Amino acid sequence: MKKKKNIDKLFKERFKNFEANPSPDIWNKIQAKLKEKDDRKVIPLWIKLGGVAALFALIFTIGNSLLNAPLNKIKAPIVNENPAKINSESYNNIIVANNDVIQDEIVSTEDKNEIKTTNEVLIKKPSNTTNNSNGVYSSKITVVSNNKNSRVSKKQAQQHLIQDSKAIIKGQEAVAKGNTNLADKTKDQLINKNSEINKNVEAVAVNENVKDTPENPSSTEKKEVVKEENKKSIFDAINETSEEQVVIAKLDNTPDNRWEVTPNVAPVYYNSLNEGSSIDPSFSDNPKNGELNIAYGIKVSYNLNKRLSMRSGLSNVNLSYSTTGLDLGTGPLAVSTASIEYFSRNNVTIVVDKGALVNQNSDDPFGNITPKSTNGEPLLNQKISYYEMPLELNYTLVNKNFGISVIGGFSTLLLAINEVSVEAGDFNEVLGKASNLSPLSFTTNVGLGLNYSFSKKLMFNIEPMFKYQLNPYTDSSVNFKPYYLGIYSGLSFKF
Amino acid sequence: MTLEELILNCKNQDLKAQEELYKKFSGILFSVCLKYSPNYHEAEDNLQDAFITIFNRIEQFKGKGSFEGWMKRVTVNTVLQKYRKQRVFNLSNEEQLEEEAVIEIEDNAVPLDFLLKIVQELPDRYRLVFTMYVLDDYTHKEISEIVGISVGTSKSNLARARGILKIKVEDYYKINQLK
Repeated sequence: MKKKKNIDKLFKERFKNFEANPSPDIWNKIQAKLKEKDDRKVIPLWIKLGGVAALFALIFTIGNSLLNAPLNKIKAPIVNENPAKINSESYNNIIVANNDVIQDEIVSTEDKNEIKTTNEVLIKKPSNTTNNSNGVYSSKITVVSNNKNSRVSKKQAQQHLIQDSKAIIKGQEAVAKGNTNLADKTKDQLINKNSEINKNVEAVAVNENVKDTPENPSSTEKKEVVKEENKKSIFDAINETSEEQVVIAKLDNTPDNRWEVTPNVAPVYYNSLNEGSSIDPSFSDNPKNGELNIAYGIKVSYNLNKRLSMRSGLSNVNLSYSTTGLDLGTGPLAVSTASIEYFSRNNVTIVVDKGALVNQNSDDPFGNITPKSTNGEPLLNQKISYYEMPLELNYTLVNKNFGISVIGGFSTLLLAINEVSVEAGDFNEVLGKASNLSPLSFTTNVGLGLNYSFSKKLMFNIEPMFKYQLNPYTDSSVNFKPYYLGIYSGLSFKF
Repeated sequence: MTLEELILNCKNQDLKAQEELYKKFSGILFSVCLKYSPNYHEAEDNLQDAFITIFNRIEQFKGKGSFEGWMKRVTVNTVLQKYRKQRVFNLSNEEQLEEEAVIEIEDNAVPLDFLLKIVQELPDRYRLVFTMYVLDDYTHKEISEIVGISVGTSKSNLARARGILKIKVEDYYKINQLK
């Protein structure tokens, strides 16, 4: 029978028990996506480890030459480890005190090791998540419930813990005997940490109170909505899901833009980690000055996830340094410096250590260098230019508008310009090229990336980079360990 | 396995539990997707996305309220994210809009398949507003907040959706009466 019907009602009635089955292969697709996600989680871990390994390799490579003082190596661990132990034990005491408040009579544990471990969990949380008092609160619950399970008297447990603390503090005192400053420092740290814990406990208490209050306004709001629209409200649900969305967004590690192109330019400073000369061993102790030059190029990054990116590119690096404390002379090619490949085949300008020409023996077959008078201090300049192809990993530490990252990796260097020249006052001559430079060499790179995002697509970068050359010379006897420092700046375009 | 056990196992990323959960709820959630999507194919895509989200977020379900309700909300949110940004151009603002649309019709004269089809054919925002308000009992205030439109726009979108649906149902009814 025909009757007038509101269109809303018509649809509502018909869709009331509506249920439909999707095609059977949908589950397979979901399963595949879930697996894909799992796989993705595994790959970045390996890449991260690879990055860390690269950084360690670099640290060990340069470590030998930088960290020659053995005393530092011994001192450092003592300072770091012992306060931690003492602090842990003192936290245990605090926790026992807390338990006193929470439980009236019985505080306990099956054995003291167990309470130690559970308490350690609690200790870590406050120091890591000072703002997240809920985390602390839940941990506290764990400790308390553990205690309830196995009943040993409170005094016993306390005694164990106090004894432990004493024992370890004694041990600590013994270690720190020779160094009273160290002991003082430890005590200070203890006090600081204790007050931090107390703060956290207070914060928990406050938060517990605060936690309850927001529910009331939302429920009154709920009632109002029901009155107004005569429909059930889902505000709470929406709030809940939007909170969840935020969490998911944080978990979702897929970057917004995979690719990034960065034209960059950098002042680069070239120098050696030790004394020595790549041109002539007799110049080893001469003063040398690294010079500022320019590197420019383009980098292409591929973002593996929101934190980790891999990058490569091509750049031109110009490096130079000068050696002073020299005298100039002219003489046959035979007496010239072996590692300079002269352009001229006849009499050439020869560079010698200061004073060497005065002392030369006229009977010496090689002693026929005629001193050259110049009106200024002679400088021996070496200019090198490389084409650099880096392969680096960039791990983002701070991923906000202003970002911070660490960079580690390697570069392949192809020798482009190789020039040795002398200048003294108004005299300036290109002698030739260094014969001992490798046409293909490598560097290990480490650096810090600072960036500022103007938009999702555009970012400004500044990257101080340290690059240590692994095999710059064909002759392994050269005792010159060059590195270069560059402050790379550029604009990144993401797509 | 009880629902609680199933949820717990899903939280532990147990694939078997996930499959069982899918089997148990895919029918209900697919109906949600069908109502909010423009066609069957996209509804299936949305169902996939919704389940992926559910499995990823299941950790956050704390047992407050019904699990089915929670899954429905996640599904609706997933689908909404896809379609709410698409604009609907109102070309006839001057037109007087009816607050309610009434048609004269026999019970069960129009099959559910047809009703679903014409809902799906609505422009994205009309469809979202109509489904949310009429089929899933959201208020205009809630719709305005979720979809990101004003209450007025929500009401006008609903009225337009009703208008379109009314014409289509009437046409269908007339044609089938003549047969």
